[in-house]
Amino acid sequence: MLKNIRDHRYFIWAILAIPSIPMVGALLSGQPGPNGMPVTEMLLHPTGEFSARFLIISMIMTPMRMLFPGSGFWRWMMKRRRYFGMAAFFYALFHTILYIVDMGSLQAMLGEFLALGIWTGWLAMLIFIPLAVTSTDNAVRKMGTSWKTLQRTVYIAAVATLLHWIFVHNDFGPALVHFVPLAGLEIYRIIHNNRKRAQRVQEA
Amino acid sequence: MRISLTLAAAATLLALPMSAGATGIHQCEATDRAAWLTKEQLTSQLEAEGWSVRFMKEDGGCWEVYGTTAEGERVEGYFHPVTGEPQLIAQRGRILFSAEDNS
Repeated sequence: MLKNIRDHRYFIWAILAIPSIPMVGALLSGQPGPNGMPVTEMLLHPTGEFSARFLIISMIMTPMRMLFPGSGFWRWMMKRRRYFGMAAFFYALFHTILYIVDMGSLQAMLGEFLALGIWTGWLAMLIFIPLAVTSTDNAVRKMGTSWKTLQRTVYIAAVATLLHWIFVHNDFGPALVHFVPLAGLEIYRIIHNNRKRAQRVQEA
Repeated sequence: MRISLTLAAAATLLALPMSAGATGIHQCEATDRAAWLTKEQLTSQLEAEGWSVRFMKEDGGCWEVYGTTAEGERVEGYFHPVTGEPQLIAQRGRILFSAEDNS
């Protein structure tokens, strides 16, 4: 019974939607935040942060599986990786819409487009769109090996997201807290794969 | 091996600086709180210069103002709380003005 709930499609959607509940609540109430901060501006940070978190979680799954090959949890997670990717996309979309509403004019947005902290955010969003569109079972089947090639552009999106986070606030701390574990795991993955390759060469 | 890696990852996380109340982006000189401009005073001063002020808060002993400049740039500005002089103005992290560079 519990297993059925846990493995149901709606269960994972519900988990991924939980952080959006207070955000949507705040937006609907329209109440300004502390110091009279407009709600659209107040929600920019949490929406972006959760998008980055889900992006990072989806990207650490492969190295986590390498690190803990016997773990049932990471096997369960791996089967749901596309849901985490979609969650990263939806929170990023929410984030982008809030930004557009908050800025209020195309002129204002274009005026800051070239700031390093801004264009990197747009670049990440632009990359997310084709990745999200091709997240259906049908697209995976149809695209075959090119699906993986396309999805690998997520690494560019991750770097862009990291730069966006650092430079939009001119602050390294919070962005690095999130991205250092991912970078560490990616390094582990590269070392692990190289070692395996060397072993295969020796055996051959 | 696995445990040491997990520990190393946890230690890295803990060692990273966590942002506290003050952001540390800019620090103003120590001032007497009683001499501070009110939010309303600073707002009208800035509006007279063509700004629109969305909101402001205290940060690092300064007034940190979120608003739009006369040129239409969405900025975050640090102002001296007593004189109302701009100290640092940044557009999405990009420094547009710094009193230290200009002095």
